[in-house]
Amino acid sequence: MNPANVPPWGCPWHGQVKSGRVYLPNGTNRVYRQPEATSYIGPGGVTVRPQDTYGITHRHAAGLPAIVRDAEEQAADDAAGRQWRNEATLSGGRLQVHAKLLSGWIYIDPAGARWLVRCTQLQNEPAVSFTTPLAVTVELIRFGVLGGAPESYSYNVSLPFGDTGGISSGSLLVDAISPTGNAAVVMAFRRFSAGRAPRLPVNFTELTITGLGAEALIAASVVRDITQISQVTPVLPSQMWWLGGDLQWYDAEPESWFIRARECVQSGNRTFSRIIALWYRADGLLQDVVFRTSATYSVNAARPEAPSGPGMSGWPVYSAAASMTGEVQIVLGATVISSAPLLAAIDLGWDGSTATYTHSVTVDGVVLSGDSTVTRTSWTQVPFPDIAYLTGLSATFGTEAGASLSIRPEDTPDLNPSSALGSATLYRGTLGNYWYSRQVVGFEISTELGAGTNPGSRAWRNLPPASPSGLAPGTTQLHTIATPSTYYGSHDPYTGAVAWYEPSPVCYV
Amino acid sequence: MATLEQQRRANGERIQNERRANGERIEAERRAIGNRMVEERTGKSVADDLNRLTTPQQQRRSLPSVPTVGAQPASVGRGSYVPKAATTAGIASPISEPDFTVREFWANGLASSDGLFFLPAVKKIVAQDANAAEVIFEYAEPVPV
Repeated sequence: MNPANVPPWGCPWHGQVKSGRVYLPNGTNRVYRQPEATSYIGPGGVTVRPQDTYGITHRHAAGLPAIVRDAEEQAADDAAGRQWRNEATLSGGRLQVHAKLLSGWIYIDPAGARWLVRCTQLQNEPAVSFTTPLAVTVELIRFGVLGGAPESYSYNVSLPFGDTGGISSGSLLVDAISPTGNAAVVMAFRRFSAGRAPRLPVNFTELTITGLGAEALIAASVVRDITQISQVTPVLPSQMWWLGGDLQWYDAEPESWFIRARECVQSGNRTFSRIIALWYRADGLLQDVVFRTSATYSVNAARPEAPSGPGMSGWPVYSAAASMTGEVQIVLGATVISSAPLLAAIDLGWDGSTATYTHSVTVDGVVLSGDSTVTRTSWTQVPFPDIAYLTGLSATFGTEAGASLSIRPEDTPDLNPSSALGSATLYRGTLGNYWYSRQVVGFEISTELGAGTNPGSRAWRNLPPASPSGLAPGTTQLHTIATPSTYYGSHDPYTGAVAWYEPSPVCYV
Repeated sequence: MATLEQQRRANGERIQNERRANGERIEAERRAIGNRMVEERTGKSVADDLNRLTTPQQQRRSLPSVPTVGAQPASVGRGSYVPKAATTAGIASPISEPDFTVREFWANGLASSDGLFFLPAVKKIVAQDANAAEVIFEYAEPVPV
């Protein structure tokens, strides 16, 4: 961009920052400001710094040509650990560049002027209502001209929310920024204080900026609502009975019984997907980051006979079974980045006096749950391990019902690793997505150890995560501990490098 | 009317003065000759000095010379001197800029490698020298490649 006789200038120090030092390609390190997490005021007035925001990185690219160095210059740069990049990286939840906090991102207008974009209502994950559009003020501040005159403009924008599935409030986070800064995705989500998945998206809205900074047009539109975020295919047939749906004694005149068809499943394939993030590609287009369960069902269940009366004593002898085999996947666009095999099965039996109920789920070759023989006296719904909030995989068993194995969207996660069923306690494992940073997400599986204790020790498995550059290098990490540790990670948008399973905050600059 | 005696006395005084003057002149001439001879012996030109002491003689005119047919002998070229239009004689150090606000910059600056920052490129500086004479610096535009 500059005349050929002008040497490159700026900040040539790039690499991974840990404990306040940047580690350079030549093997040396130097003092560098550690990128900061976002923060918000949580319960009790405590400042919370979400673990998955320490390693945030966004790519800033103005389409400049690569810096060309001759052999001698490159050798000198390599020896000194310098990298002259034609792109910048915004690092940490508060978005710093060259060790300076911006708390915003950089927009390049059609005249080539750089503007710092700030919106305080979208920083620090505010709690907002999703029932009405949110009025925000977006400020454009002239940026980057050394010694230049200050200049700024404010724009009022209405941020809409689409169908959130009845979730009326939650939090906001700017979760993706386009390379030229002309667009950003705001994620509306439910936050959970417990469990290993702190956010459940219910809506994605995109802010777009066009025109010169002094007369910009800033718009906002919903790009994904809950109907697009959470999807089940194929759509169920309108009428189906199976595996005991709801078999209820209707205690009224005339006495009768009926089958109320629940969401039933036939043999065949079923896919459940949930969008867990939106990321910008290098060309500035958005792509979905999806958690998906894809399985083939096999069902062996006859239509139950009519009971002779209310209660378990009126039930006929009955047995049924269903299973599914498939995969859980993390998908980026149309590409499966990470996957693990999934097997699930239930068996139900009633011999006239005793009910037996068994269920099992195996993920990545690890059994998450086990059998239990119980005498049922009341209705119980048992969500299948802790993947219910992601896959909606659930099993039901009770006196008025047989058992059902189904996939349906569940918007309320069941974060408890165990639940009571009669006199026994079923220990269920967990299957979740662990966010090492907002650009690094992978499967995390746990199984209970030590039957008879709750919660007891657990065995944890962290599979190599997905990132905008694909699957991170490394192998499945195994760990045994009652309360899991906190891990950090980051993605380098310039080199594609990924750090994950780090015990302390890490971020690329 | 002056008597004869007075006339004779006046004439005598005149003649006496003339003789005294001539004597002083001759003495001076002789002294000069002596000095010249000294100068001559010490290496100074004789011909011009003698010419100054003597009554210039009538110059003999010589016939104009006729140029030799053929190549001209080497000679020193002469040109006409045209004085410069400048009104100052030169720039006196130090040069200082009295007012930064009149400095001009090119629209395109020098960009950092990642395009985030721009160093303004100077277009024109209005300065003055030690004699308060205006000195203008004009810089080339950094044309992007």
